[in-house]
Amino acid sequence: MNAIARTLASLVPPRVEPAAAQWLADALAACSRDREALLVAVAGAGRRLGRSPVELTPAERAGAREAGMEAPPDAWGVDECGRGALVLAGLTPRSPEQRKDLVADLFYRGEYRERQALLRVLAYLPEPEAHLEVAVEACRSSVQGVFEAIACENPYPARHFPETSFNQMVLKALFTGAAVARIAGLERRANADLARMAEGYASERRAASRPVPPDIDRILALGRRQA
Amino acid sequence: MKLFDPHIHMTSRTTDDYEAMARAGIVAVVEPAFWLGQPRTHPGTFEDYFLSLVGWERFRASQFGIRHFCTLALNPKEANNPGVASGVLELLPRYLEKDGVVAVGEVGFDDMTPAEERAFLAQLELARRFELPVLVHTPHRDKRRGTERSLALVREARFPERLVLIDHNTEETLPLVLDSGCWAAHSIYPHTKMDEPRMVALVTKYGPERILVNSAADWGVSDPLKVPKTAALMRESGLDEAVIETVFWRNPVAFFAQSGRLEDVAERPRIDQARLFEGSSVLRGGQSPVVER
Repeated sequence: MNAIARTLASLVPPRVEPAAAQWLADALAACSRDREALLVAVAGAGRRLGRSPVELTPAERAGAREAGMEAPPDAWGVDECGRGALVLAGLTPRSPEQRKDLVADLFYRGEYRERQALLRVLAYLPEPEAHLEVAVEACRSSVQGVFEAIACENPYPARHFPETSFNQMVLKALFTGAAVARIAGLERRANADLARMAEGYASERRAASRPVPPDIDRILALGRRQA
Repeated sequence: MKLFDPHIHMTSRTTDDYEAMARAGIVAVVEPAFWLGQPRTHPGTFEDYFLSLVGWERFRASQFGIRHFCTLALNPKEANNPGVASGVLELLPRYLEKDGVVAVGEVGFDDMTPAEERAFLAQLELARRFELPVLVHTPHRDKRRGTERSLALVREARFPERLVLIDHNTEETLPLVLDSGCWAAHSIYPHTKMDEPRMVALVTKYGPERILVNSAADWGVSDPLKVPKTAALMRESGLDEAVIETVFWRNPVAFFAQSGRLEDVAERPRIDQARLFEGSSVLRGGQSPVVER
């Protein structure tokens, strides 16, 4: 198991009953060999581990960064930590083809908390760029939780999205009220075209006598700086 | 009084229905997977149907303050189609494990063929493996025989009877079911199956234990308010409030809670129509969302 899988798995036992912790340990042991065990465990993790927010201790937060997570899993539920560990442990040892196939399978055949957990760990799989299609598709979801799982506190879009997909994602954050400050790498990826799109959105809002989201100014300022 | 419709096919119903149901006091529903009026041609369409039952429909119900649970299965009619039967049985394990699934169902008999019996038995085994109760459909034709065979099959498979709900009962089948340890549901329909006055008579005669009432409303002529209407007639007929509450709330909760998955059922979901799901809101342009804080 890689360091991030181990870290995520370690967050679960202190927050669940011993039987649930054992369930996760067994599932983690089986999931890299047995495809059905992985899929069934990911499906059942919500009910078995519960969905309460993890509320990390300072030591856990530091441990997550040390393991290589760009943002600690503060916004995750216990189920998402368990599912994230299962996905990393189950997919990392497999071939690139199997991995790509499983990522698509877990996304399209998952209910929405399963999708969230997958998206949150996508950047930490080997060759993460292979899963761009699923990551971009996730941005089209209007389940806010699914959209935020890829767009917010997630290094994947800034690292791997082409400019057009990145810009669409930022615009969607403006539309849906996700704070753009939560988008990792925004400063690095801001561009003139994004500023143009944000300005267009602001002008549409003004024409309709609707309030303009304050986050737009931040996008405009960043975009001008890049231009 | 909180009401529970333990069998209704909401994918076939409108948002007006959801609003009317919530107004009439329905706070929870169970939507069994069934056939869609015409035969499906490949297992993939079952898969998307299962996904919509655990995903979009669940979300849609929550937008109107109703808790949505489902049961998943290969239904009796389509168990006869070799092009889909084995493929759907292979799909089931993963989907039975998902959130919101509170039983295996509808299984049972339609034409009473060997293929239906094989699918019924295979799904009793799945229910055992996933520790789920089972919802059993009984046939329209030769109902008494179909009910007897269903009860016999459950007994032969040594499947616990307290985990079995036999559906669509009539005056002739209810005593058989009550004599077993199974639970008995009744579908109140505008023209067929069971109606409100007959249901009042049955509860008056047999009492409320292990008896459930549903609308089984779907894409056909049916009425999603049959549960509140039947409860109202029981009240007018002078049945005890405690009896009514047992039939319309305590029994469905007790039966499906055996899954261990009937989460937050006592509490209506907070309405938040500002939330969207999979690119689609239930609202159309210009409507303002209802958001309860």
